[in-house]
Amino acid sequence: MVESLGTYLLLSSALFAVGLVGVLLRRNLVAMLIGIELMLNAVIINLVAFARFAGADPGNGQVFALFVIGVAAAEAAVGLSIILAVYKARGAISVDTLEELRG
Amino acid sequence: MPELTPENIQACALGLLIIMTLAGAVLAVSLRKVFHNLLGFGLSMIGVAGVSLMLGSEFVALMQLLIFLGGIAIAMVFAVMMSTPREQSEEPRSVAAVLPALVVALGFTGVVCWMMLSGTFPKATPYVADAWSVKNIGFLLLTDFELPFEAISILLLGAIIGSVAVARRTREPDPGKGAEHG
Amino acid sequence: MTLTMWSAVTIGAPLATFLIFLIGLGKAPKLVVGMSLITAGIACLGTWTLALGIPSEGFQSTVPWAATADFSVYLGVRLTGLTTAMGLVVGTIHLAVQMYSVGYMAHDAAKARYFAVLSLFASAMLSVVYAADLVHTFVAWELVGLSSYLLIGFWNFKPSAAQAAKKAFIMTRFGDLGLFLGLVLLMLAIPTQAGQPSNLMIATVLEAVSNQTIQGSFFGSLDKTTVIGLLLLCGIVGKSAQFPLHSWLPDAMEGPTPVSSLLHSATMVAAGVYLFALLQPLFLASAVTSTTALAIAALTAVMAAGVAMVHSDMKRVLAWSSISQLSFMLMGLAAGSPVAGFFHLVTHAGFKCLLFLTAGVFIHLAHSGEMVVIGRKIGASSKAASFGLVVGAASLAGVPFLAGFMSKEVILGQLHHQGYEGFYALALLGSAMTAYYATRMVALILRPSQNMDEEPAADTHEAAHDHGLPEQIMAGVVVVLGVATLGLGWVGPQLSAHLGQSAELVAIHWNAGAALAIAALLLGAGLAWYDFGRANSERDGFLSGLPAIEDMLKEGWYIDRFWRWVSDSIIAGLTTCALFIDRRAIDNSVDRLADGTREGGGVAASLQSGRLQWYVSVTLGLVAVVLALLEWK
Repeated sequence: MVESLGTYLLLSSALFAVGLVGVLLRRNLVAMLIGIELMLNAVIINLVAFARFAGADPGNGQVFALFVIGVAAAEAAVGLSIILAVYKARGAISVDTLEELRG
Repeated sequence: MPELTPENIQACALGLLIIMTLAGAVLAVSLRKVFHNLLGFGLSMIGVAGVSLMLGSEFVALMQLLIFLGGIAIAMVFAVMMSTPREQSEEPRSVAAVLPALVVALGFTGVVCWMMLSGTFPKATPYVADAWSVKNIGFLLLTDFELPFEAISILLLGAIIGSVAVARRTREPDPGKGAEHG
Repeated sequence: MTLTMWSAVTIGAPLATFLIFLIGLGKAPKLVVGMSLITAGIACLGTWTLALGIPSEGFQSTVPWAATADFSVYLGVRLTGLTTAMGLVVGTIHLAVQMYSVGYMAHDAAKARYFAVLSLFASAMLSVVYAADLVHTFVAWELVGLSSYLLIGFWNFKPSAAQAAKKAFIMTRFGDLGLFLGLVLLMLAIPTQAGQPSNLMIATVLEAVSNQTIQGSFFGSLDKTTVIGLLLLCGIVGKSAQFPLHSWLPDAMEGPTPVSSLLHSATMVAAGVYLFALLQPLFLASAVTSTTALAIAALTAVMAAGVAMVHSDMKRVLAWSSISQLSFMLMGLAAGSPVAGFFHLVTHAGFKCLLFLTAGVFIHLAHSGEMVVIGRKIGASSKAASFGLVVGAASLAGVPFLAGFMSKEVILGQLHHQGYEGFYALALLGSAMTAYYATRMVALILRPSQNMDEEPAADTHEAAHDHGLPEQIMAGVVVVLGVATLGLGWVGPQLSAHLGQSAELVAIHWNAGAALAIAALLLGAGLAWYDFGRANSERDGFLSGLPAIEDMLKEGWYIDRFWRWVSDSIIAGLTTCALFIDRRAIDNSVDRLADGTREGGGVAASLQSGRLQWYVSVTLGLVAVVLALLEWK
């Protein structure tokens, strides 16, 4: 089990699924952001797993994973500041209040 | 009685880490209060770091702990504390409202799994310590991946400036608008 | 000149008159009238020449008109005893009516059109008579119908005339449908040698019938000869105004009286009977067809005679009389004699034309068609008309040695000889009724009632009107025709010889049959005289004591109402269908389309819900579908 790629791929798919469910079903904006972060983590696991099992220089996979971590951090920061701005404008951080695109 | 071989110990450890990751993730999306979700998220991040460690990359594991757990999760806590109204929980929803999203999510994941598992992948390569060292990562960052490295620096800079610009206090309104804002 | 050229001249001369009118010279009525008379004379001369000049075995001359690999149509003439005899009748009557019309239409503004169409009719009728190919006959048959339509509706400012013309054309058209189908089936049924195109020439048809080569049946159970015969009979029933397509003929009296005398007594309606005579072997080959024809004819004879007994308008009586007499002709032919029915056709042409022309004189003088009015106003004061009336009515009733008696006797004898006793009895009844209404007509006109409220209008106004040139022309024609009709009964043997049959067929046998016929005559005439001719009679007729029957007869056995109801139902049904389709199918479909578009827009708009999670779901769902498709391939 430890030495097979399939385990890690299944793990990352499951984690991705959970994160996706969180994004689609939660109405709190912060909870949605958590879901997004979970999806990104699934990607990181995937990358490192392929670095381990796919034959090329493992450093490539790790560097790619580091870049993903960096982007996740930047995106979380910007997202949280947007959530604060929404809170100031609407008084709540529920996604139900953001329906201007309707119609 | 299973034997206490290194492989078995590794398998158990991986199993525990998988359980931790998935359990934490499920808690992170299902509990009602956002604080509880954040705690589950933290647990899940520890599990993910452990998995990366098991795969052989200490640096990535360390970075995950530092950034996800120590940076992102904390920032989320701050954001929650600054923005949540008195009632912190969401109303429960009916199954009919939940079902379509579940179907989409599981369907998408199912398709992706199907694609992954119907392919063939090569066997594991032996672990070569040098290739997994921080030294190698650093070397790659400054040679092969120099351009993305610089680009992500600018991205982080932009993110900092942007988040500050979005979240700062708005200016004082014009005197002509009256005293509506505080 | 050769016979072919004579035939072409005979048929083409009247047509030339019509073409002259068509190209615009209708503005010169005298020219058209003159040409019409001249061409009528030429045509008459032509028919006599052809009749006297044919060889004994007949003569035929054709050219191919249209030819395909399977079927050819020929244009040409076929001169036999039968065709030339009929042509003779048509040509002579046509000339007489043309001359009469000069007087009758003298004051009519549209007389150029009248003479032109009359000439067209003559040309078409002669084509029907002489045509060698049945397709040619059919084309000419339809032309005859067309010219009849134009002539009945000649006074087109009268709505009743327009209606009558339409009715005539449409009813005969229904019959012609059957005729056309019969011709098509005939074409299919006659076997041909392989590689040779088939054709519908009369000679071919008669040969096929005599060799009995039309074998087999359609759909396994309908004998071919019977089906073809019945379908052709449809056309004959329509054209010759037999039951059930007879009610157009009384209405056709809306046209000018010379038209009635030419078309609707002597020639056009006789065309149906003539076609029967032409193709008699084909009709007699099937017992079903001949019996059907006999039944229809017998029924119509009695029915029409009954109606003629109660009408008060002279032309109506004569119209119903024509229907009845045509039935007699058909009975004679359907009973199997080659001469009986045709002889009656010739004699009937003579005396019925005479009667109509006489009616024209009376109507012209009295300005009314009612017999009672004519009797009061004119009575016996017009000598020529009275002479014509008496001669014609006597012939019609069947007074011995006059034309009608001679030919009707042959028919009755043939019926009895062939053993059709039921039809024989009906024919006798019809003869009695014929005698009744003929005598009634004479009595009402020549012996008007003495006890009445108004003065008889024999004043100078009428008398002065009696002596203009038009009236003299009309009177002259009537007198000549009357004299000719007196002798018409004696042409029997010559006619029989001309047709290639023995004179024995038209001989009168003074036996019980003759006695019965004379008894019928006396019964009918006596009854009518009792009702109308006595000096102090009520002038009401015995039928006025049976008002229900009298009404039914006056309404033509309610058949007209029945056809009216049928056509109304059909049209109402079609209208309802069309309305239904228009409202429910067409309008509705457009409405549904609009609603559907609006609702579709509503559904599409719901995709833009404004909810972020919905957008993500949709996107991921589609991506999953695409991935699945890629993976599946």
